[in-house]
Amino acid sequence: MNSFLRNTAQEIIQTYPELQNLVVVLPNRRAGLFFTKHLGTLIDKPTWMPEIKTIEDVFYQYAGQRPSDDLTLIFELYKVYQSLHPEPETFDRFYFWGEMILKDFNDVDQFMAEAKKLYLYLYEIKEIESDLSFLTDQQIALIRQFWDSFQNQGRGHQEKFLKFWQILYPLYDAFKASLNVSGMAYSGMLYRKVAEKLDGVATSEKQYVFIGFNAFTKTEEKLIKHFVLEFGAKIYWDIDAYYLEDKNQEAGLFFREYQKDPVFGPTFPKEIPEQIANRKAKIQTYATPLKTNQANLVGSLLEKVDKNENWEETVIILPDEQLLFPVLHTLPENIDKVNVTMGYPVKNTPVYAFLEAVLEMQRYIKIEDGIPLFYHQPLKSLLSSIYLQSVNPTFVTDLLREMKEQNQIYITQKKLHEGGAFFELIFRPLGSAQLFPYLSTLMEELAKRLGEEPLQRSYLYQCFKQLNRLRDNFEKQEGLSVDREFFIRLFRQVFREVKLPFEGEPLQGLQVMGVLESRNLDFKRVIICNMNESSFPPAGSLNSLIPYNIRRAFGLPVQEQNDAIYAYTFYRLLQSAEEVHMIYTTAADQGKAGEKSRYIQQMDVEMGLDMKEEVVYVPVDLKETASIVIEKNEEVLQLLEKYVVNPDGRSKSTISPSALSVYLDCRFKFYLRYLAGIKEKEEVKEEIDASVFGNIAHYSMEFLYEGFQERKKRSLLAKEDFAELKKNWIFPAIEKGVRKFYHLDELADTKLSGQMAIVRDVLQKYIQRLLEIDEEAAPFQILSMEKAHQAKFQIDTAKGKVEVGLEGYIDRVDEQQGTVRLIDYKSGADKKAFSSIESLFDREDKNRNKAAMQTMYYGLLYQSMHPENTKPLKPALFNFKEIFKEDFNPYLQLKEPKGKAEEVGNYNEYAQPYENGLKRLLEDMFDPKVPFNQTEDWDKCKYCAYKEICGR
Amino acid sequence: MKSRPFIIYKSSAGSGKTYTLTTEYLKLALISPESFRSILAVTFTNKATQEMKERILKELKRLKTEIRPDEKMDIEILLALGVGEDELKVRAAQSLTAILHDYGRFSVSTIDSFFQKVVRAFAREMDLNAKFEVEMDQDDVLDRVVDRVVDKVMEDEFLHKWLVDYAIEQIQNGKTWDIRKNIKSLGSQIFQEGFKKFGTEIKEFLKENENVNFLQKYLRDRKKEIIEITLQLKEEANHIREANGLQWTDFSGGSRSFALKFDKLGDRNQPVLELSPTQVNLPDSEDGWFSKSSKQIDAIVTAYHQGLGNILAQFEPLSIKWNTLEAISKNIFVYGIFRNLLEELTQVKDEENMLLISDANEFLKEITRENDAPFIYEKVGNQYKNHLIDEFQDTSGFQWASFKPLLENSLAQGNTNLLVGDVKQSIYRWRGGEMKLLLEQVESEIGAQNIDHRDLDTNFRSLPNIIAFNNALFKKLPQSFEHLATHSYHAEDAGIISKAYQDVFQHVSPKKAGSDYKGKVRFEFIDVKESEEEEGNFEEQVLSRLPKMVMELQDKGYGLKDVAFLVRRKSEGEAIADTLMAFASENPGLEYRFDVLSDESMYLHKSASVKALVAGLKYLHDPEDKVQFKTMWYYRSVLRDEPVNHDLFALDKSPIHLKEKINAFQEREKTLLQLPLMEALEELIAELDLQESGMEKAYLSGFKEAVFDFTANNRADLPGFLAWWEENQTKRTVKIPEGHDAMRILTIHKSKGLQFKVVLMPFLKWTIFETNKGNVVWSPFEDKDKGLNVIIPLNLNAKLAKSDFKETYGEEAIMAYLDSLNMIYVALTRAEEVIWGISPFKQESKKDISLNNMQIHLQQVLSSSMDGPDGLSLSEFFDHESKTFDFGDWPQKVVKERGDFKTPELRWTYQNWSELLEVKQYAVDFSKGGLDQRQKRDFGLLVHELLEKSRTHADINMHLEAFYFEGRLDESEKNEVSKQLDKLFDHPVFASWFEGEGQLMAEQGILLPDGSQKRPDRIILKEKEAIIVDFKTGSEFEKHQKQVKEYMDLVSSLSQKTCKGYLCYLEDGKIVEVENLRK
Ligand code: SF4
Repeated sequence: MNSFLRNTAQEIIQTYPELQNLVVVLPNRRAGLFFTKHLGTLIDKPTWMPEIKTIEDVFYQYAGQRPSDDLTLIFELYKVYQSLHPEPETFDRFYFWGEMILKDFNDVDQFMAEAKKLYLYLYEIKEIESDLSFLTDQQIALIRQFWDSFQNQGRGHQEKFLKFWQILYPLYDAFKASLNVSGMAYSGMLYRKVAEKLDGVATSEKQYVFIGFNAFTKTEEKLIKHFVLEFGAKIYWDIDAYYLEDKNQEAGLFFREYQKDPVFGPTFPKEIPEQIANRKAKIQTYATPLKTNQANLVGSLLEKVDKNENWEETVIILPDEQLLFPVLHTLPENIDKVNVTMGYPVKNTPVYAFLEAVLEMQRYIKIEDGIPLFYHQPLKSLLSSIYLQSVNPTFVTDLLREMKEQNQIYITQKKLHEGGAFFELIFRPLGSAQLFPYLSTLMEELAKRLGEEPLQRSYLYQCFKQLNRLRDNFEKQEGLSVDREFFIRLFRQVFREVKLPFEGEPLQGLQVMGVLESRNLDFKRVIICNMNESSFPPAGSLNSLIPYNIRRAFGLPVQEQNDAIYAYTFYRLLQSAEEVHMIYTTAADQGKAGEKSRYIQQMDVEMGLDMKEEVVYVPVDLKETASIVIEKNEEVLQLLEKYVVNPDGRSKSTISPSALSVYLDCRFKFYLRYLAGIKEKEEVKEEIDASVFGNIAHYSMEFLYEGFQERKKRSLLAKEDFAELKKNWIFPAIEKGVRKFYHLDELADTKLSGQMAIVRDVLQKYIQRLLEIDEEAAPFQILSMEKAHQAKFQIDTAKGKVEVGLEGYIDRVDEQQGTVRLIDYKSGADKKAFSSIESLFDREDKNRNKAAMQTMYYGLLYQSMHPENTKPLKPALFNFKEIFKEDFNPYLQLKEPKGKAEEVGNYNEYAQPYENGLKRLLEDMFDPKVPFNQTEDWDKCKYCAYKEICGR
Repeated sequence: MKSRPFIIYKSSAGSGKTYTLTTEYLKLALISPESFRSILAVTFTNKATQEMKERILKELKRLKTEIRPDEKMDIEILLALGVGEDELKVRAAQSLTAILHDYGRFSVSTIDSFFQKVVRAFAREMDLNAKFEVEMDQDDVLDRVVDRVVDKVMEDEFLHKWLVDYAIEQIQNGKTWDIRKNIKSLGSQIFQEGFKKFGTEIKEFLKENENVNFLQKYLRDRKKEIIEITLQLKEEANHIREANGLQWTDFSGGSRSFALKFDKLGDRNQPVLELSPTQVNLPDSEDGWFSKSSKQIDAIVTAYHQGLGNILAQFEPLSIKWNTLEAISKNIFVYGIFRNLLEELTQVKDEENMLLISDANEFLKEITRENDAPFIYEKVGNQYKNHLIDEFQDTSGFQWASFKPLLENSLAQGNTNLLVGDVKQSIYRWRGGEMKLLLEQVESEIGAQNIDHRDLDTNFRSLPNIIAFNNALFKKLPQSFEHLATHSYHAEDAGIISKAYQDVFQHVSPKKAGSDYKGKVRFEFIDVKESEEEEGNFEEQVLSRLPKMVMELQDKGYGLKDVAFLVRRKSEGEAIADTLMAFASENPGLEYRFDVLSDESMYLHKSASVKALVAGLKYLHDPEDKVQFKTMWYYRSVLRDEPVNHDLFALDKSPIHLKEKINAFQEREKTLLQLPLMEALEELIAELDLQESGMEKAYLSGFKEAVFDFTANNRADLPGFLAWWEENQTKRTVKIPEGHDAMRILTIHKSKGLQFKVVLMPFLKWTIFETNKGNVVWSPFEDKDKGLNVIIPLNLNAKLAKSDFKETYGEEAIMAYLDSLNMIYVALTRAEEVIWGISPFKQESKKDISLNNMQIHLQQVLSSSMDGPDGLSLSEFFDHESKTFDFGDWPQKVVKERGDFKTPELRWTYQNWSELLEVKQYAVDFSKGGLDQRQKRDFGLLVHELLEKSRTHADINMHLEAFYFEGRLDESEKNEVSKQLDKLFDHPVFASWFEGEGQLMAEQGILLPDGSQKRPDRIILKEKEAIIVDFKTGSEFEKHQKQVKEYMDLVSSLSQKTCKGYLCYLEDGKIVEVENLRK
């Protein structure tokens, strides 16, 4: 296999046998590693290693200083900015701008532009024009063109632009001055310092060779030229005639320039290699409809590779780092080592998600009377995260369950601390001063608990490093207050950019790397994913505050230069490749079209290859899901026995009206809930859905009349009683109702949040109205409230006659004018009319009246509890959605189609047909031949808790 | 230069729009190799952008080698450039190269991405954050905003009162108390242009709570007033009636007499009833007040004249007033909190650093207003001279307002600009598209004298019969629509409909005219009884016909790829896909194929694998949720055809064959949770053996992709994903490559710009003006007397027709009719050869059939349209017996060979990679060892790392500083290390290794022929001797000495010098000299 680094190493050994006197400068450390490796294979006796450096090393060494990290620099920049700007924005708003400004300053210095002239101001242009003589006419024209666009001055944005622009030079100046004072620097500043004082650089005793460079910055160019001219340094270019000699190829942009340069020119080889044209690599393009399918394809490509293959010669290039893990997951077994060299965003990891969630939880802490309360929602996510689960699993499970059961919206700190030390550490309200120590302790503690998870630890460590920087910076800034919100925002902004740098070492196995990491390396087989515009090459976004033409005029890099760099990285890969697979995806997302890379297009037109494109297709088939039928085998029948009354006169369980309703709605649902025992998921309901609302209303009514009975020591309510009830007792009853619903004790504060507060006020209206209705019906006597009523009910089964236990809670039983009313409160808009008693048990009937079935059931229960009763039993429904109607009537109406409505005045008059219907229904339930099947009526499934099982 | 550089192309369907655009583009681009850089071509979708780019490149590739003298494109280009063929070839080659190698400036882009680019360039000036993210999911944002507003209730008294009042009003009307849903539905207006147009006024009005209160009070007062008036009228009416000894039933109509309406006056909810169409003339005279046979005619006439007539005359104006007030009241509560919504929205945007996609238009408008075009382009970094805008009928008012200054600037310099569009294909009004721009507004703004109109009136797409049919149909249909709109909705200016369709007539292209096959159009009308229709009978019948239709098409020689189903709603597409997929799997033996593909209808969540996965993830998130646990195993069983029974579902049981699997899974649970989401998913797939079944791969892949996308854009935690999935599952479908051989199912909206040999429209029915959807329009309302002038959000409903807002209503009606007309136009012009539709049939004799639906208009035109001087007499082809319209024949069957669809293999097996990969460790990192060092504040390794890479003491400090800047150490740790180093340097021998004489070989080891390296930490070559030092942490070991001795041997043989070796233990600074045995 052709290899540039190997060839170069070979040449160097021949030219410079004294390797210890050699300094080899390469674009990055990785190329250095490979270079050394090649050297090792070329010698036949122990040999001194040359000194291997990156160009950065050279500069920093001469500067005697290394640059500070960006975060520090941006903080520093902000400090200076504040002193210059009349109304500076807050730091977090400044942060990204700062990053951009810093980058601009860096460019200005790297390319040795004269900042003062670059940042010159509109009105100065005339004055200074003569002074621009160091620029070419063309450059001046560009500057002029830019400022000409200001001809119609005085409009909003131009003003704004100018205002800001004006500040940039002073900022540049003051910033550098301030850095100098504090002994800090950004990299461009150091580069420039070195480049401007090259004469002072002592003659090097060692031989320098520069290997594999492409695009120099101005400072680099100066330094290298100096070395060439003064110290006889050598340059080895990693080039190919394919892009060098075709002046349209942007990949050769820089080389063509250097070739013409009097200093660089002579360093080019006489004959430019023609690897690309000669090799005629096998090139294949693939289109995948989904991004992740690229991984499947890579897997299958590798699968076909011979087992004895030298995997180091195969590379997978991943322009989108997110694809790393999907690719790793589909690697075939024949690969025994993988070497990853790229950055992976830490933000994708659970550890980071946990940290962010912990921080965000702070937003939802309430302090009441000095007691910190934690809001259930963020808490729930945190508790269910593995990091807390694994520390104290039982505590977490219990707490989560308790929260659900008791519908706790806020959890006290005390409760949370019962989980142990780690919980104590996490669940604390933080003042701004505590943020940093809190987080760094948390990270360290977390790391200890991570177990054998080297990757997770590394992610966490990356975060930790970043946090350290942030902390040191904040500690040094006096004027900068750390408000929590601000911190959270900053945390997000800063940490979302953090990457875990995978550094592949040793250099064995299949190579997986990002685009730029492949510089100078050669591979026989190249697989490139995401060969899409915007990925490779990446979308052009020159984050700069310096307008395009000004950048051009001052020789600062613009998109063209960027493009050239990427084009070079791409074409360079072809120099040695024998087999190239390029995969792009046609999936379009978030404004990015699934457009194939320009390189594919270029090659298609220019390489004279027959490039066929293969389209990846994934078969679209769907597994048919048959409907579910659970036969009543012995075991299932046994389960039903729990409803049967034993000789001792009791049954293990009883059938409630809602169980009956469920059975009527869907047999399978009944099975799941009552026989299979799969409980529906309960959630903390802060969202007041119908059932919550109904429950609170129930409780409130109960408390209201209970309180009345206690106070007055009587259960008869007369019309006169209502004025007081309405005036004084509604609110306290609701308060109590809410308390009961949320399992709050007497004293606990019920100050509730948004939606809840509204509901409470709304409930007030409801109860008010209910009382009005009752007032009209008064006098009446309350007989019971929320009381369980039971009955035994005989049916015929395959095993003969059995008795089944029935039970139900009746919201309220009262007696009004000699009639016993069985009252049910409903939060919905249940109908009161039904067409026949039979229809109540007809599961096919779309308009089956559940509420009527249920309240009639109460009749059955009541009568069986009070066999002596001879009074009429009148079912009544207070359905909240109708009570505001002027002609509200709570009683059931039997209304045959087209017939006249008849009010149900006494259950006992309907008992016969009702009990027949019930009997048939229960017999159906116990019939071994009737399986539990799914309802045909999909409407029933809409709010069913099991619809995921049924897929409906 | 041409005198009219502003060209507007009106391009009917199939008229070769892309061809024309490409030609125009090339005319400009080929002027010089660089010309393309100053052309901006704007399209509406990513897909169109792609196609446009590909087309341009394709033509350039062709032109570079071949000029076709008879090709219109070539002729035009040659003419425009004034060059010969050879020169054109050269230029094409040059331009192609220029574009391919400066691809970033190949500016064919969507309007959105162009706008975003500009907005980004002006972020600073627009007070935006530097790195804003563009947010597409506005619903999600709205959800958050509304929740936040509701949560503010406790802090904001006005809000509290307002929302409670609202909830109470809701419940008093028997509606839900959960007001959030309503707030959200109207709240979504804040993203709409309709609202933004009035944004400033509305914000101004809402700034003061008083204004809202005032408006509310106004409504209450005015309503009360009307109730009082009507009560009074009622009293009066009854008074008159009694005075004349009448009952209301004495009036004409008897027990159903209109006069009963007098008695219903003053009702709180409806104080005045409406007069039916037959009653509206009653107030004018006593005619019709009594039946001829009535004995009380005189009394009635008297009563009429005594005032009943006058009272009745007040019905209408009062009812209009009332309806007006009601319409305003409807949304007043939500409207009242718009200010809060907007405030919270601003905050959310700020906190999350995002730019809503809907903001871009607004921002750009401001940018182009505030700046001159040259400056804008200076900042963007590209100077555009020519603008080509495609699909102009879909451009919104804001977009046009943004573009206009740029265009004007370019026009002023005499540069060519171009708009292409077709009002008839404007179907994106709901997204802000304003076809009136193309229809008239642009012309009036730019000036007719500057515009060069060109019509593209030849259809290159379809066969003659299709064109003839469409010509005939769209001559009639607009009239039919316009007529109805004028009469039923009293729309003022329905003329816009015929104006839009004035040049609908298309010519047949010569090529198609010469085709043997002429094309076929078929519409079947199914007579479904009204009662049955409600029960979905039409749908059922249609679905049952589908397999046969598909088979018939295959019999006629059509391939799957040739066929497309066009639907109005995604749910219809879903039904089609389900039916055909089910049919295929139920009838495996057939030699027909039923493969369908649809980006819109094949939802991921339909698949058993995805269901198992989602359940699995939900279970992992909440292990208490046993429903999910069972769901997961159930679907796994389904996929593997394993028995489904009690053992599977019972809570504490599991089938024997699953026991081990389940145990293994439960052991892995914890580990799964520690993995990044994407990996957890992969593991789960493996854990459940989902890939093993070999089925549903497209669905599995699709789901993976969903997780992948989610992780890319969000904080990647499980609860977050589950919530996201809840919202997004109805948006994620299977993705299939274009070329695949299957029938397509797509909505009419998505079909725009596409063409198919056969177009099937099995659900050709829809309501035209949907007034029950609660669509919102913003309309001004004024009451001068009360000093009220405000912009009001109105829900479109039929009552508006009888209110002060009837004009707004009428306008909406016309636009809705035009929308529908356009929709059917787009649909029917997609076909190249065959159109086949099915609609329900309506007996026309019935009096009160609603004309407000598409199918009835179609039926009427097809069954009765006679004339056809230059074309088709449609009714000739309508068979009343079978209720079928059938025009043209099937093609002669040609058996087309089915192109084999070769596709690369994919690998599906899962591989645990963690063993393959090693992670590099550093001193004091978070590895076990590192943590230990951290804990003990043991920096030995770190010091070692520093020493080995440094030449001098200064170097060390520089590197230490670098560690600090990396965050590996904090300040105090740094100082500690520094001190430790100082201590080491106190030792003169130690110090001499760093600053003494001789050549230092730091980091320069010795290379051995096997490629391995020997790297003592320090080698110093002095004149006579060599010194070798190795730094160590921890305690002394024998092997340390051995190692150094080895080094010494190597060095002395290489350097030919005597060697001194040292070991230096960093913790205590102890230095040990190593004996050289050989000497
Ligand atoms: S989802 Fe439907 S079929 Fe399944 S249990 Fe619930 S109601 Fe029955």
